[in-house]
Amino acid sequence: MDTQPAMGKQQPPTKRTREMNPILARELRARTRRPGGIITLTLFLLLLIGIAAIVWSINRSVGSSFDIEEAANAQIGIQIFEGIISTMTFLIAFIVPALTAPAIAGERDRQTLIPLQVSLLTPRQIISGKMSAALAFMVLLIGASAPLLAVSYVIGGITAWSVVRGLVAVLIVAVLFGSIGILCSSLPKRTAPAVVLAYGLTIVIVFLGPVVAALIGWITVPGVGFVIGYSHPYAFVSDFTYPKSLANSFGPMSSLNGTMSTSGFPIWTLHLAFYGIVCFGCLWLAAKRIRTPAESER
Amino acid sequence: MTDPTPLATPPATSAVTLDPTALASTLDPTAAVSIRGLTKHYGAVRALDGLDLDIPRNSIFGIIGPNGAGKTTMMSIAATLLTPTAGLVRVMGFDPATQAMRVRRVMGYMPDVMGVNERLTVNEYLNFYAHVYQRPKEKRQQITDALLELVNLADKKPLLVDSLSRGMKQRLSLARALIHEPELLILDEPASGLDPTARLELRLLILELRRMGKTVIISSHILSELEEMCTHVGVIANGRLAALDQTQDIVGTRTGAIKIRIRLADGRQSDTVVADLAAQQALLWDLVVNQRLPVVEFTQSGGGLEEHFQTVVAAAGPPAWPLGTPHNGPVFVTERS
Repeated sequence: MDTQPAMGKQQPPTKRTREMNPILARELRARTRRPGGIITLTLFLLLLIGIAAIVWSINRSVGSSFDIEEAANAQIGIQIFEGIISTMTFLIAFIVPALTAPAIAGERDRQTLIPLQVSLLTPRQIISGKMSAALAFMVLLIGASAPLLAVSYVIGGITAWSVVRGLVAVLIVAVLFGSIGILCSSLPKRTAPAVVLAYGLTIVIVFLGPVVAALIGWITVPGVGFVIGYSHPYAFVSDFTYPKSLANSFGPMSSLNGTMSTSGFPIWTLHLAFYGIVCFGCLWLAAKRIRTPAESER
Repeated sequence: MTDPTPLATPPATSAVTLDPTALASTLDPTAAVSIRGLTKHYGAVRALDGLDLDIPRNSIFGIIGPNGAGKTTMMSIAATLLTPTAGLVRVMGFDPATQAMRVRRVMGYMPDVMGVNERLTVNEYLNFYAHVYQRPKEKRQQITDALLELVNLADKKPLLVDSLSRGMKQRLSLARALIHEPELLILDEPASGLDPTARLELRLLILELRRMGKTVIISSHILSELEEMCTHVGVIANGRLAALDQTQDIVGTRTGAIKIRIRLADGRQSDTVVADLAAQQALLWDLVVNQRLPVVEFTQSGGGLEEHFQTVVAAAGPPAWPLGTPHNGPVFVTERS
């Protein structure tokens, strides 16, 4: 049972080739063995196909009134694109918490967090591994839906650049909700409260945000309503992707969309800065939460 | 219990009365773990209350005490999971409160529960931790194979971790704690919930680790779990060190001579007094394996005989008493003083 020759004396860490985060590698391996991933992907794509088919069938009947067929096709292309992107944003906002909320709380529940905490991994590495694992699946979902969005490009009315920007916008929204989910995961000690907290926040952001914006904006303080309304993820996706598309679907925001962009200031940069601060703050707090008290030396 | 380092009782300190500099000067630089005036409060609860302890290098140091005595708190502080309210700790010369990463490089920690590792095989589990502990990529499989060989799980490599028995999980958890070749191992109640055979395997493994030059700290609230493998035992009660000695002295103090009463299926009964555990096991071996007598009842002062019996049976192979007799096995009765 002499393991010394094989194991050798551990050398002090030297400059090594860059390797994948071990948590990410483990999560990816474990995820491929769960049936949930492939089921989620299938349902996600089926829903998007359904939305595209509905938009197509509605607009085909409307499109017959167009005199110029090309213009009608362009309208259908835009409608399909907007329908898919809107649905994707909504679905991603509600899938990401399911992936991230159990990330840390689940480790605590399964009693596997302590071996990681006393290892050479830093809390930042644990958090980034968990976040990357969730995002890897999001990239898979979003990437798999790219051919569907490309249909709208083929039909017309949408540029390839808009398709790419749309996908990137949805990915950024995934990062936002993912970061919030990771923070929620690090707060309670059990998985169930973490999931409830993450979904609660998602519902507040997705549904209550526009309502509050509308109430505040229309009834009392228009400036505050503007800020709350425009911080909504849909507003970001709209502005980042295609300035005159999604925001038209949301009353309080439709009149605002483009207001600032016409002045030459791309408003999505503000979004990015705001989301960046939120994401960084959430991940920093989550890492702080899983730090052991004796980690000041790092 | 071979060649234990004689213990010197550490100087008694009080975190309240001694300043940190004075306290630091009393630390033993040669010890694997040196603790002075260690105090930990959880609100109004004093888990540790001025604990002083030196754990010699290359020893198997048992920490025993009732539940709530402060064993896990002490181990958690040494393992960099908690910081003390007061007092000083040095683990292989490093301060776990301020040099956490250095301590983690030289220390392996095994919590009392391994946890659930969904959908990872035994091989992947150890490879993952080899990655976590920054072992070179090209050597990870080699290290994993060597450790699985060491803990006698080489044939379980492709199995899912969660399909293993508790004893196997404990050995795998020990292999995980060894993945970065620490000089010191901290094992929190590793034998709890294990059957006698699994305990025996774990004991042999821990003895092998000492032979490899490692220092092992092991906690339990049952002295009989520790007495057969530890070179030293420290008893913690109410957050303080209540007794510290070499194992045989602690055991002798507790039990004195061990009295065993054995009743056979034909009604014969005998009382035997044995001096130590080895004599106890030899007696059992003779009855069960050599004489193949259908033992009906063991009664022992101090407890632990059932485990010895199971160990003997496990080593001997088939049941020692004739099958088909009215008795399927012995009854164990413990008379605790």
